[in-house]
Amino acid sequence: MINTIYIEKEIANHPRTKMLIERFPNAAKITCERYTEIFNRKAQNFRLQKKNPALILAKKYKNMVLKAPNHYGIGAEHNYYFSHMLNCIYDCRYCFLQGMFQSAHYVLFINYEDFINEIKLILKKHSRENVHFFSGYDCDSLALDSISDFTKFFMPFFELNPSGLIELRTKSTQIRPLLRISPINNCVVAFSFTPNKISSTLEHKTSSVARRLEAIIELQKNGWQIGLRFDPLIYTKDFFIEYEELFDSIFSKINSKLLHSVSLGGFRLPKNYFRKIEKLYPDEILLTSPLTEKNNVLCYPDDIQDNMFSFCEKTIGQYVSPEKFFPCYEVI
Amino acid sequence: MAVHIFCALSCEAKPIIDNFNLIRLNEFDLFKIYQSIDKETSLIITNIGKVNAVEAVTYHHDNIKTSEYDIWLNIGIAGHENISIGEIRIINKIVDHEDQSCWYPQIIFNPPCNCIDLITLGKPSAEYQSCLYDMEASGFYFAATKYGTLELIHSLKIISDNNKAPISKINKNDVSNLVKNKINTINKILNELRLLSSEIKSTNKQPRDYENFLKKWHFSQTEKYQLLNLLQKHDVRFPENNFSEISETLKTGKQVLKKLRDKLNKTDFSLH
Ligand code: SF4
Repeated sequence: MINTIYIEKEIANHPRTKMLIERFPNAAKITCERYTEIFNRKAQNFRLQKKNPALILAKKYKNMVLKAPNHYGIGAEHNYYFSHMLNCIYDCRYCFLQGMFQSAHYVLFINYEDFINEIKLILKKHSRENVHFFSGYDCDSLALDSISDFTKFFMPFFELNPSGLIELRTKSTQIRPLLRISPINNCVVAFSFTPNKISSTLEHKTSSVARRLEAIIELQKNGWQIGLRFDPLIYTKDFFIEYEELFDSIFSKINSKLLHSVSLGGFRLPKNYFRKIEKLYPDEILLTSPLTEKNNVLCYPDDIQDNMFSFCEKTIGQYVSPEKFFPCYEVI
Repeated sequence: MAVHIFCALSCEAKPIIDNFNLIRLNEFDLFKIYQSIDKETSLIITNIGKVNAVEAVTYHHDNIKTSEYDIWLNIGIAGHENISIGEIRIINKIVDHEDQSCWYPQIIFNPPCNCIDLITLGKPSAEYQSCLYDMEASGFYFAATKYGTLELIHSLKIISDNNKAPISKINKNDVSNLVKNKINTINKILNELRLLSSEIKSTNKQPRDYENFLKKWHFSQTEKYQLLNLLQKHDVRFPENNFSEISETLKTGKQVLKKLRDKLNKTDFSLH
């Protein structure tokens, strides 16, 4: 439940702002000049704010759509990401957002039209080439969709612009807005997974693996393209048993022939983010994992990482053809 | 965790001093400071105005030990156009009228009273508006955020005057009574803040063997930090296991750090 909404003055009268405010009649509404006055203040405590995050309605002015890091991708040559939202309603202990942001409040950039304009320019720049856009980089793409109407606005645009593919990265089972519309071929609903036990230890407030699977089945039935993201892979003593069970339960239930893509990535966190998360959650067992530092990034040592990757590649390879499989070995 | 309370006037402070059994600390004479015997609660009279509030917060911090887990509360009276006299509000936005700078106190608990925004004025005013007016909050908040954690710094205001009942009609006794009548709400807010404070305080536990290790071996400043970090991890990973036993034979601090690293890196790691 949202108890406080901060609203940037400039967008206070925007129809989307008004519509959003109406959804929370009991929330305290506070105007501000720029969202950064609240979001970037020092001496905030992310852990405390996570108990009751506020919603900040803001306008994004620049850097709306950015080039994705080099190794980020599921087959296209040109990869971009954009964040209509910062932060997430879930609370995964491995999440880099806890290390990156000062605040746990949800920032929603409501000028969707400006994002679309920039996406249009990028599509124009790469006309005749495939371009992928990743939307769940600084948030979960679907978790707050019922409030943000993100898919309601963006899906029709992508339907008309098939050379751009959009990935909705999520752990959410809020798929009703998608089920209400016809599936769009150039949209991948990409679900992230860790095994059940790991998920219940680390992915606080998310829906269970089983419920995510139900959502996938429902979406597949309705013709939506599905992606599977095993990113980050999390090491534990029973890694092989736990991941085997996970793969079994996923591939025995969904139609793997219809899958759009499967990707893998190791646990990694920039050192400064890791240090901040350590301060916030010193009792977190994940942070005591065997880790090594590579170029200021903390990740598993090569032997652990290699074993995890080769096991996953072998197992996933039984269900998914190589052209749909995108393991990412890089840590930076 | 300690609670630090800031009131501009003695008459605002009196019921709080009485309620928490605070005793005047005579060694401080620039501002009047009161404290409970257990040192858990202290109060300073800032006098009127935001500059005084800034100085009082700094003086308090310099003289009374404060930490990032402490609770900082500004409690006082304020005027509003139509809120009834005696109601209490927690402030969710503070605007400094002079330079228009803004602060946003982070209310992340369910407060037992409504929230409102407030303007801190340089001079008293009898022109009431739809927000509160005071003369200290911006100074208090600006200074307290240098030492505390935002979620634990708040301003509480009790309505003392409005369009129907101007400030000129109230005396010191009335002010004390207004505050006294809201001690329950103040306590409820303090309880919420204590919960938050103890949550972040718990993140700063010292590992079991840290002090002993510092006595036994020499560590440079950087190594001390590394030791703290590694021992913390060790306690989380092996809560039953005492590292001091296996470190008995080690000769230098460097060897201790290496042994700890090896143990954390090589042992079978289980998340569950
Ligand atoms: S779902 Fe994704 S964005 Fe949300 S907390 Fe978990 S890792 Fe972070």
